[in-house]
Amino acid sequence: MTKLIERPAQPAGQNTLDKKYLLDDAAIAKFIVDGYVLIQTDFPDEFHEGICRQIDAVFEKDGNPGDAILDKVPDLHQIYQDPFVRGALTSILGADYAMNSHRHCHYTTSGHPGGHWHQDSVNVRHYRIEQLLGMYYPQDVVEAMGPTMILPGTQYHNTPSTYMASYMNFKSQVALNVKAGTVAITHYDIWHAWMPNYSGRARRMLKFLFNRVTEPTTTPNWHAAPDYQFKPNPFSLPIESQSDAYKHHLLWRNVWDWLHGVSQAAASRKE
Amino acid sequence: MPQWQHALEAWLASAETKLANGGVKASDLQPLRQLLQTAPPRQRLLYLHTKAPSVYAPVIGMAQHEPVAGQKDTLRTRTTWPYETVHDAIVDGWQVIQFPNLRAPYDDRELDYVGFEFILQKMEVLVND
Repeated sequence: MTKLIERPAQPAGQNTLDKKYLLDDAAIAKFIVDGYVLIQTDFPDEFHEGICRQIDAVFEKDGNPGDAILDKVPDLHQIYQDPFVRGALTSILGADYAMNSHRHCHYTTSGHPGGHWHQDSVNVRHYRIEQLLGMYYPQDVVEAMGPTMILPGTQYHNTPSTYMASYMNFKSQVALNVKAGTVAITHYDIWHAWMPNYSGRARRMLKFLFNRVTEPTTTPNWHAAPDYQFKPNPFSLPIESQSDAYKHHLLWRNVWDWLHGVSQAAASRKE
Repeated sequence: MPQWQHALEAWLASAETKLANGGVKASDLQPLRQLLQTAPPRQRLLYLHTKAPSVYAPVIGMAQHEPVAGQKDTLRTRTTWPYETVHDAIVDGWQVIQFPNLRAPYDDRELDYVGFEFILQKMEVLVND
């Protein structure tokens, strides 16, 4: 899959963002553990309805345009320029994050059987947060519409998607039954799927990718408090075996330290 | 339609005729009993994913596949989880036909699969396809 970085997410000189839009320590900590955060954009319903109409027209005329969806539906630029979305992306990837040239509109109509658990791309993974998915929903999504499903905490697992075929429902899976205008920002490697659509309505989901451009520095990119203590419960993920809980706990600390500009070697010595 | 189901349909047609002409007798039930005894059982499959490779470990996920044409378990938000452990399922009559494979090469540094997979079956005669 192409992973070329297309361009900076914001034009030079326009990257100022009020700190109130940044995530705080607790949100970053939760992202490190669970691998996702839900952002509600600040547009009226009519704006999202307009995007739905534009998408429908594109699909009706030409089918799925693939990476060209942004050119065909330029209002999507505004979604990913929303300050709440930029605040979350900046907090996790740094202020100079970039939008990837690959993106896809998932358009499921009623009767679609859904899609199975998988991780995107091939199994060359790492614990660092180098790439994010930004999944935008321009309409309300309810269970019958076949929502995206994610399995929190799986973003550090390196699992061939083909071998996930015998998995079905997990107790801790999260169905993204969301309001129109929600952008689900997830770690690129989180396990995800989507349910069957039997609603009689179409469900549209725009999946955009965002890349880290520079390594973290000792100055966090989020709204960080100097006295915040990162102490995740090592057994907080319902899916974890005992061994995986230990591994996760070390990993989470490593990611936290890395996001604070601490090198891998230094982080290892600290453990 | 399976042969045994044809036979069942024939028995029902016969019984309906008899009901209109005085009713079914006790002896008429014997062919039905024989039919049930000879109907082929089919394999119901239950995949249980657990936190550890013990039959007492908590279930974290499941899939259930019924031997019915067109049936397919789907992703959905389950409101009920029938078994908390594999042992619960065994008590309910399920038989384990595959245990988690712990002999595969294992490196306790990597994170790979989620949970441990038990595959269970029940052999049952299902009346309706």
